[in-house]
Amino acid sequence: MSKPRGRQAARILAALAILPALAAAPAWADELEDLLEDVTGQYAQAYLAPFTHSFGPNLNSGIFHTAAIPRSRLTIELGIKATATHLVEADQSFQKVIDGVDLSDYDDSVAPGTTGYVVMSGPTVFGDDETPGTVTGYVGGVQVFSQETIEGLVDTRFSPMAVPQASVGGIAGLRATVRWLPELKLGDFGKIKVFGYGLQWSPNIVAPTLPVDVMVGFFNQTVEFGTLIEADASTMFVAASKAFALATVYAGYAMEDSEIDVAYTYSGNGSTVGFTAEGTQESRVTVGATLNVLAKLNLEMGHGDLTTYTAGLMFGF
Amino acid sequence: MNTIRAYLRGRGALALLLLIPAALLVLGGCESDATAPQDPTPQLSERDAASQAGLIAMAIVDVGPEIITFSESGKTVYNRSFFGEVSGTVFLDFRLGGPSGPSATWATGTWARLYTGVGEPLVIQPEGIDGSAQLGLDVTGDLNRGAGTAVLNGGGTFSSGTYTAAFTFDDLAVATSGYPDGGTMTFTGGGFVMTVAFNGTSTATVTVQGHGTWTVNLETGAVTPAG
Repeated sequence: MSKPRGRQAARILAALAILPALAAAPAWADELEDLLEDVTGQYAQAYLAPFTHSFGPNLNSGIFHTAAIPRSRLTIELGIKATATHLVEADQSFQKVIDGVDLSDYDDSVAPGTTGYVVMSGPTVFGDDETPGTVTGYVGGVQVFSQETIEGLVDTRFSPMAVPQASVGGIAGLRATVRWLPELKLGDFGKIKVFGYGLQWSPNIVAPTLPVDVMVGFFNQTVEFGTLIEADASTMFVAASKAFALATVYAGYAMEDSEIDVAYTYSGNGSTVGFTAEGTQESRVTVGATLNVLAKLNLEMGHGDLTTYTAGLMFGF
Repeated sequence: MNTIRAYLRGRGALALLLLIPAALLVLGGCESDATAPQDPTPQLSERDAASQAGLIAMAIVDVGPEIITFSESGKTVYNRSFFGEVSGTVFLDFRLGGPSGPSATWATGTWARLYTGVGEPLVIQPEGIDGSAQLGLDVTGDLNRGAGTAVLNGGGTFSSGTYTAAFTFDDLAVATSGYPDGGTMTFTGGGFVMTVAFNGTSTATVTVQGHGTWTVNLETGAVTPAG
């Protein structure tokens, strides 16, 4: 295959890779909203915990795949980053206990003023997608009501995400990176918006004798899925890399934060439920490698409170 | 130094490419922290556990005498359905002489087994107490038709939501009427072991090992601290 035809084939493959990710996201989000409408905010917070805690770390992954930034040679890259947080098995189910509550607030069959405790348990959003959870009320060790709730959305230990990414660099050791999708209106679900921006700078331009390429940078992102989810994530990082003939190995350290707002209508009483979940991960170490043949294919692992794996496919020069 | 550089530019790069995924796999042992809440189920208090035992005591007062009062012609395996505070179906198997004796009718049997079907426990829903529990029961007893009494042994399981317990009866004396006038039930659940002693009255005494004593009202299942 000639080089131009090879590049064209690679571009087509990249396009094919991104389309399923974009198509699947609203379908999952739509299905998730349908599920959440059947549960209270307290249940939803526990049910979504693996998702809300991994969403930020996923967003903050895959932002770079080399620390090398030319002093004055223009570089342009465009591609996709696919990330997944590997969850522990325990995150596929949950149990939340709320003590000292008026049980009539949770079940109409209970006389008002009946004080007891509520046990919410079942699959999380990434748990068993066939078995529903339960909300059970107790007074003195005796069950006074039990309600069936919702199943998991998808049975997996990986919380996935894919975003398109582009960068322009090579001016005074700077590289600008963006993640962006045009506002997409997707039927009943609403709009999807993705926007992120960041800047990286290489100290190698003032210290050219360093044995490795070094880079510092930051990145901020906002993602919206209809009215259901709005997430913000930001990270500051330092990274180093070493280029070899066909590959670059890199490592980095990042400080990060994230938060996610969830809003939906609880069908039980028609009330609007809204809550904010702060991401627990505040820092991570990243190691990875980039294979540079026709395109740049990188694989990396980030480890902080959560472990994320990222694969990226970038085209450009 | 030049040799190292040459190596890294040649076969070394390929080796590194193979080593890095291997390193990632090794580092993959770095598990994520758990993020979903895993609250433990609240521990039962002594009173809570005594209340569970009280419900069983109430139920056996309702169901137990069936072993001696049952009458229905034409079968050797019988069942009786209950409605009300204790609901569900129990099965009765009458025999002559003991458990290995030949099958008998209710009228001729001198020994009987009273039990619930697998997956079909009795449901306890006492008035005045919001709640329900399930009772799996399997008791046997020698029958004294003349006196209208039976002495029960055996036991069963109790469950209410995520809480479970086990219980056994020792020489529980039931009659065609009135309350059990002798025998005990040992209840193990919620981290407690307790003995319920029956005395022929509408109350029984619950003694919790290492703890206190309670009185159970056999009509309602409610427990109160003993005098």
